[in-house]
Amino acid sequence: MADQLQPPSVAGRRVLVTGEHPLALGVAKWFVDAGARVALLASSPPGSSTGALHVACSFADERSVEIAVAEAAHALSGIDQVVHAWVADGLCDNRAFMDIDEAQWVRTCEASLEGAWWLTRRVIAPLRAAGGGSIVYLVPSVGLSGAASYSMLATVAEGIRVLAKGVGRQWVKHGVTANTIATAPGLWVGAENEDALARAISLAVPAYGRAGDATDDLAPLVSILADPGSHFISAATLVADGAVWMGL
Amino acid sequence: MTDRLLEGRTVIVTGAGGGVGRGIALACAEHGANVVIAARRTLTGDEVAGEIVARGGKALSIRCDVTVRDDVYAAVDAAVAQFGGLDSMIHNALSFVGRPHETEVVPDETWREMMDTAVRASFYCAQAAYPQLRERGGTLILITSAAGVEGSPYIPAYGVVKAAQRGLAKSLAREWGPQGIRVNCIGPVAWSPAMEKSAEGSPVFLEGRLIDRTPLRRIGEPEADIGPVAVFLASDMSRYVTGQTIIADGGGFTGF
Repeated sequence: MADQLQPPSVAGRRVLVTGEHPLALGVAKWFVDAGARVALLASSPPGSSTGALHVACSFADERSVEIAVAEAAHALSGIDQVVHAWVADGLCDNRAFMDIDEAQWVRTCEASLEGAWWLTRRVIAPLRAAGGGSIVYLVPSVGLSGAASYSMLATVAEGIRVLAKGVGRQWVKHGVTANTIATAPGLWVGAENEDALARAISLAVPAYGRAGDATDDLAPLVSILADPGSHFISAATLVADGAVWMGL
Repeated sequence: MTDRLLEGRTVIVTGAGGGVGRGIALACAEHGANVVIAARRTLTGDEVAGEIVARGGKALSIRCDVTVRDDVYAAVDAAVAQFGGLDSMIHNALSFVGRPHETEVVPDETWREMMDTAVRASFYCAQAAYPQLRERGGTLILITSAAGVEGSPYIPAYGVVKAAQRGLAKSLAREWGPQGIRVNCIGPVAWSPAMEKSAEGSPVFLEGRLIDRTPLRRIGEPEADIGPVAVFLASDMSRYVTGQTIIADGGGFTGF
């Protein structure tokens, strides 16, 4: 499948990827392998090598995000595309709502929303300085469908998706587009949970029978959204979850 | 079936001291509900409760800052103590959303207040109400917005928190459905003190601009236009409806 894809060349593109989740790492690695210059903003060093420049970032406060974005922009000599996939530890856990205490809610759910908010506010300056660019938010499609025992994840996914809509319309005047790709839940909650989630939201058997792969299935789509040919796509949600959620 | 769809049931409405919350509270009372007016300011809450009582209804005013966990739990306790239980929790309260703004310059306090009153308070309201809702097959209703679906280029932070509420509501609908609890959202457009404050000096929110995009050519009235939607969702008329958002905005948003 991968060798059939013909995404636009990303050689030399300056890409900022956030998160230490395998999904983020997979996307970062794909861009590196395709010739992009990539900085990975993550709370902790990635568990596997992506070839990207690791920039430590605590998403717990805006100042840290500001410093990390500036460091990445300096190292890459600018930023053309941002791929936000960071979420707080524990957000993807399966947990009944009544078993979530306030501290967990704040440090996972609210922190993930705030991390996205702060990152967004801090990347607009380098994107504008580059003459425009693209922000792509990766979220699981459970935000669209809702998911029992994943209420925090769905809350964050919907918040981020609509953040993309707001800034995606507001920042077109700066040449900056913002879009969301809603991925298969299994990429976030683990393949072992994919089937149960898919069954909960659709009568149909998942068309592809798998959650997709960050590198072969998603990264090329991410790259296309920063291609000049995609300049008229902004504030959009692309559902790339293997045809699990069909609500649009 | 009685014409009074909420006869004998008990409803908490947060932010019920004015605007949409007041309209929902009055409409629920007209349909026979015992209404707990949970308002941050006692004065306005007392006024609405007085209005309901003057119309022959039952109401209790309780001071409630929805960003304070104990206040929300106290409202539930008061509902149980006064009326014997709770059938519907309607979370409507929201802080001032600010005037149209560029995302990068939204004051931190504006963002934090919106997060607290929309996201954190939804968490409090849902958890505080759950034991009663489970016992009585009740409903949770979160007041969101069309901006929580389509986003807003003028007040993007508002879209974020309203969307987050929808994500939560859809998930709780799935999680709590097997226990007989329904969870839905309403996205209203109606005059309220908050909307009037946002409109000050910002032409994009002027009445004419809003009406231009509204097929019914008027901005909603809280009691007459939004209240009945809440009554419907709190009543058995919607017994098979959960996980949904009803946009009551005169047709301005047709994205579903």
